[in-house]
Amino acid sequence: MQYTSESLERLINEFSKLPSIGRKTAQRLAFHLLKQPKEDVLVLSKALADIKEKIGRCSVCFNVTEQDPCVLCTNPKRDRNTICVVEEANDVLAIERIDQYRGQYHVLGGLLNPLDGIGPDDLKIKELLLRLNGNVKEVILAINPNVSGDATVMYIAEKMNGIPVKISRIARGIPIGSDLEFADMTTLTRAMEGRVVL
Amino acid sequence: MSIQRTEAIILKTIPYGETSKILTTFTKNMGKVNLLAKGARDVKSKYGGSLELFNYISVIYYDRTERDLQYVSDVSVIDPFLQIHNDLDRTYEALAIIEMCNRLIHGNEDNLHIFDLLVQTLQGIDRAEKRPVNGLLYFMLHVATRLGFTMDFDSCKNCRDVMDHKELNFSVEHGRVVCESCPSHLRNVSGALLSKESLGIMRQIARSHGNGLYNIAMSEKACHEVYHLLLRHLQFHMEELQNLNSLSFLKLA
Repeated sequence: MQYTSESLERLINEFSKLPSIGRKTAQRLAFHLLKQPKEDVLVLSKALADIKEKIGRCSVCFNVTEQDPCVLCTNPKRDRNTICVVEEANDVLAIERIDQYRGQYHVLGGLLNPLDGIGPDDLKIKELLLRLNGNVKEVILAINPNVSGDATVMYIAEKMNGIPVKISRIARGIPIGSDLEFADMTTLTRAMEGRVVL
Repeated sequence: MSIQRTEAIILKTIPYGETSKILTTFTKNMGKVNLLAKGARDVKSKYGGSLELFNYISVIYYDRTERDLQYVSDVSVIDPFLQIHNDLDRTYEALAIIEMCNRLIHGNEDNLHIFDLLVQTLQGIDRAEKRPVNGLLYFMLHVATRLGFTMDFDSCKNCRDVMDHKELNFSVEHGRVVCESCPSHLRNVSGALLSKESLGIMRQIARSHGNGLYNIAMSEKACHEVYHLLLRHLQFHMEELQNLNSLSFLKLA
């Protein structure tokens, strides 16, 4: 298909490179922007440019940040005895949303994935172990319950063997509001394993 | 469009969109089939933990031959191999096996003899009380046999002598041992040295049909020797098995 504007075609091509965006959606987004006031489009383009110019990684927790160390690491009100280990920076947002956790974070930047050749050296595991100085009392592994997640959890637990720090993993099991009847075998087994004493 | 119901092992999963998953499955009746499970990563998905790597599942999907990706309609788990998920070494061994299968199986033709071998091996690794690594060695040796690259450890390739030597040469090219009495050029063609212990282990694994497999004891050195010979044999005959990512994670590597 030939477009009458090279700029429009370039924008559509760029949009269609984004995850979950097909050619049609890219075209719809491009035409939507075309109808917007110039100022709004400039705000968007500046926001896009800023994420590459201003945002970096925190040298302590490896979360995304505009200042190093990040606001979570420097906040004196946060508990320094607990570190919550997550796969990616967006998992920090998910946990912050519940407004229950007051400790520190550590972003691994991925999970062990032997099928894709992603090993421990590709993740921030060594950096996590270096953070386990005398202050840290507990490490919470808030990692997705899949094969890569399980492998990462077991690897970290193995590496922390002998370090006097409590290590825990977030519970796996039945989601709130669902029916036991429809739970699959694996989920139900994990839920039974993770049952709590009342 | 037809509705298919089959058993399958999940060889690979890729996140797709916000909550979906693309699965590469090795099915019992239709060979390798790529499936799209919509919403599978959603917390409230009806599939839950059913669509995890190396799960043994029963799946119903809509089959449209003109499509590369078939849509999952329903799934139930036959065996989740929970012990494999709970042990890092077993996980690495199972991953190595499913990566080999993923490379070896092409297209939608059934490969029942390899499917059965895969299920039997994963069940063995999952339930083994000791030495789950024997399952990996068993799979490597028997997958070669089932694909027509049998390894013979019983007599010399050249003189057919039934051997009792301290150390023997295994010709990867011919899939047979060559004794010390035979000409050196026969021993050195794509050869690998094999100790008497390793030769005995190879014979036991070759004759084992799963029974007693996990009781076969071996020294660490022999285990390495056996593994590397099997790998060399497989990679010599099957180009697809070059550069497997998961092997570097094994303790044997």
